[in-house]
Amino acid sequence: MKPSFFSALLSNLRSLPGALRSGLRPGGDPAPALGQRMRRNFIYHLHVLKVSARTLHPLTTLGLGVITATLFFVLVVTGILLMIYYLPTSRQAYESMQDIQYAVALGGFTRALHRWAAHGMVLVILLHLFRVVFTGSYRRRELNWILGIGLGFCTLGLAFTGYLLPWDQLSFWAVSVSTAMLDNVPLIGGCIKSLLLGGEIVSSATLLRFYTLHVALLPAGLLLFLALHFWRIRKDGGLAASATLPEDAKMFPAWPHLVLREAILVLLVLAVVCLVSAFVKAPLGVPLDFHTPGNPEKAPWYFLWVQEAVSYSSVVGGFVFPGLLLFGLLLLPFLEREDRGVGTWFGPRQCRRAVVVALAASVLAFLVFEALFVTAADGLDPLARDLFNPATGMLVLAVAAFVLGGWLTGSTRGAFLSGFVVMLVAVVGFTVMGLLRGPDWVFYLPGEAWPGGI
Amino acid sequence: MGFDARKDALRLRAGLLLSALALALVFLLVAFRGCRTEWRSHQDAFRELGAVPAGRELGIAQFENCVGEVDRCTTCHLGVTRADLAGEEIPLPFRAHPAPLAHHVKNRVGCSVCHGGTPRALESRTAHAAPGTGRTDPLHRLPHIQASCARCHLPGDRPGMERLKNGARLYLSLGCAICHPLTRGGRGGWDFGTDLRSIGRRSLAYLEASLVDPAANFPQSTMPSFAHTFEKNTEALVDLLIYLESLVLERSGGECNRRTRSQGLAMANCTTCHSGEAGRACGRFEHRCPYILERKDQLDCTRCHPGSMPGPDEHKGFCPVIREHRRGCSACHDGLPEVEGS
Repeated sequence: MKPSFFSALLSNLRSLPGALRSGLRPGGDPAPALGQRMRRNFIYHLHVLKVSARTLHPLTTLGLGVITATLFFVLVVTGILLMIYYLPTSRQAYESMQDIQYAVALGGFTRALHRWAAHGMVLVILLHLFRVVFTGSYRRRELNWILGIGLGFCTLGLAFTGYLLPWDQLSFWAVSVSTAMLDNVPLIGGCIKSLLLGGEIVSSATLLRFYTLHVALLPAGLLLFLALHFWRIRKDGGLAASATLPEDAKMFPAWPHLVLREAILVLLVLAVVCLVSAFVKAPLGVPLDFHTPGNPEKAPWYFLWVQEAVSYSSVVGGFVFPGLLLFGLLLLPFLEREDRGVGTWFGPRQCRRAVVVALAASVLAFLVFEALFVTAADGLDPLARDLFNPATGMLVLAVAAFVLGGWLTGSTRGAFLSGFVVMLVAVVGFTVMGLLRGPDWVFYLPGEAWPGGI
Repeated sequence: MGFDARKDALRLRAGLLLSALALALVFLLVAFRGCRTEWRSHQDAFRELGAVPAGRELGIAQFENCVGEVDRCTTCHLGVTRADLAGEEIPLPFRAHPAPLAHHVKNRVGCSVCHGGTPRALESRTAHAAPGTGRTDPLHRLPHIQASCARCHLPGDRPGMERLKNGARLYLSLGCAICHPLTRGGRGGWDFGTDLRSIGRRSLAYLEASLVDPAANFPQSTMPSFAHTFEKNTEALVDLLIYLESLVLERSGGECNRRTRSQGLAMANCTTCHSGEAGRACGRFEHRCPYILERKDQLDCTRCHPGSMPGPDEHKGFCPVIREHRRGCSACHDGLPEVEGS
């Protein structure tokens, strides 16, 4: 051994911390100021350099996008962990769920985290959609609006495909009920259904298809849309950057004011969802029994409004109502192009007034429609049922609110806001009605005992 | 706008620190709860009992039982097969099984085949409940546990299943089989009488009321009341209930059970008795079946066929005597083949 080797190694060891710092940085840049800038550079690919005080205000966006992204991150991590143990065959699925729940270390917690984060994500993307509609933030962000609808589809698809995977009584029949609603879609409904199910009914083929969709196709689609969504935010001027901002408005650097706000929100969301999952177990139902569906069997809560509307009229509830809602949402940023009041909740003053009136009228109308339908539905023949039911009623009311709101406020924003509020009241109302349905789809008040089965 | 950038940056850093601390606390809590599982604390208690040799590691105990379920019960019920832990003074999850387990241990029957519950679960509340229900499985209590014997055994003369056997006997002697036969998918010659093979799902109170006052549960019922029969003999009522409960239980598909149930499963098939050469009965009239033994005189083939037995080809239809008794067979044997006129 030569002494020169030792001395070289020793001096290299001495300078190791510094070498690690500079060597692992792209470009091997030793200057701290520049290095910091490099790190920030990543952030400035997401955010614009300077943001307004309005962007920083928590009530502007409510942080719903960040919450969604955080929950998605949680879902990816826990989902990969669950994939290690889950077996997507009809014979083993439920058993492997039991193993995850009871025998795997922290398995029950991981499952709960995945479950509650999933429900949370569906809820938060809906709120995100409402926020964007109510603040008119789709204006001059048409592509991002469409990408957002795509993200919504992926999220609902993920939530729905995940619903089947426990392969218990609840998941099997809920998916059977939900996919049966596709029969109401003319021409393509049956095709989509058999493509989805791999047959006419939910079977082991369905389980494998749903699993593939759940762990590969839909997450890939969602990631792609998510990247484009983030890119468009930056490209369209930055997060909640209002087009109507005065020229001399004071601006603040995104670092630290915006980025740290987001970081705090991420940490808090993680803490809350972990805390909930530590104490509230994810339910695992009764093992599947092909022969005895429960009464009632309900779709997952985010599809429950369709099931409720289908119970009035399959044509209107299963196709016309959801179809028009989706059609209206897709075309919204192209038909409503007013710049006035963009970024303010419920738009200019007269629009706000129209929204309040539409809200009051639609809640009242919903209650009246439901009461009338409950008392008179039995006497109606099928055609009359399609014409006179709460879903059709609310649809007509939405069109009326659209026309009246537009006419009275003199703006397309007022028209769309009024129509949207009516549709929203209908969807929320149908969901609440659906939640309160008991055996044989009979309505029971909250707290009222359901009659036992035979 | 009262927005101080310097103060805001400071506040944000403090907020970041606090929320990171909060998250760390939550993680600690999760880890703590994850380590303190119920089964671990049971195993610690068992160790304190001095029942574990020093240096022996415990952990999740599991095996695949004879019907293919994974059984983890002995993770907590650590002393089940240990004779030295018998007796009331040993605290409960560790006490040895009170009744002799005989061949059940060797045959990997495990706990859930008889006791029900969710054998994969490691939390007592879930493990002791039927899967996904959260209700304690009713099979935990004596003497109704005897119903479980029928999952693998025919209600015969084995020790420990006397009450089930008596229940089966009552089913036949009280004439239940006339309206509630267990052949033909549970329906007899008449189109009434509930299918008893699912009735065991009901509560015991429901079943008891149905026997004593059938109109109590179903006002249109035409079933006669059996109140007199059970007035003085409430034990017999429980025996019959045990038998009814046994009918709903899934027959186990385990290896030993396939053997057991195939014995005499083909009862009232010609070949059961006429398996000898050219349709001769194969010799002696020897049975383990209590039903046949009790009716030995009526069922003795030599009464009608003193010399040789008829072969299957000579036989026109089914032996009328056997046909008469097929309902009796169905009280214990599943899957009797359909026979015209039975």
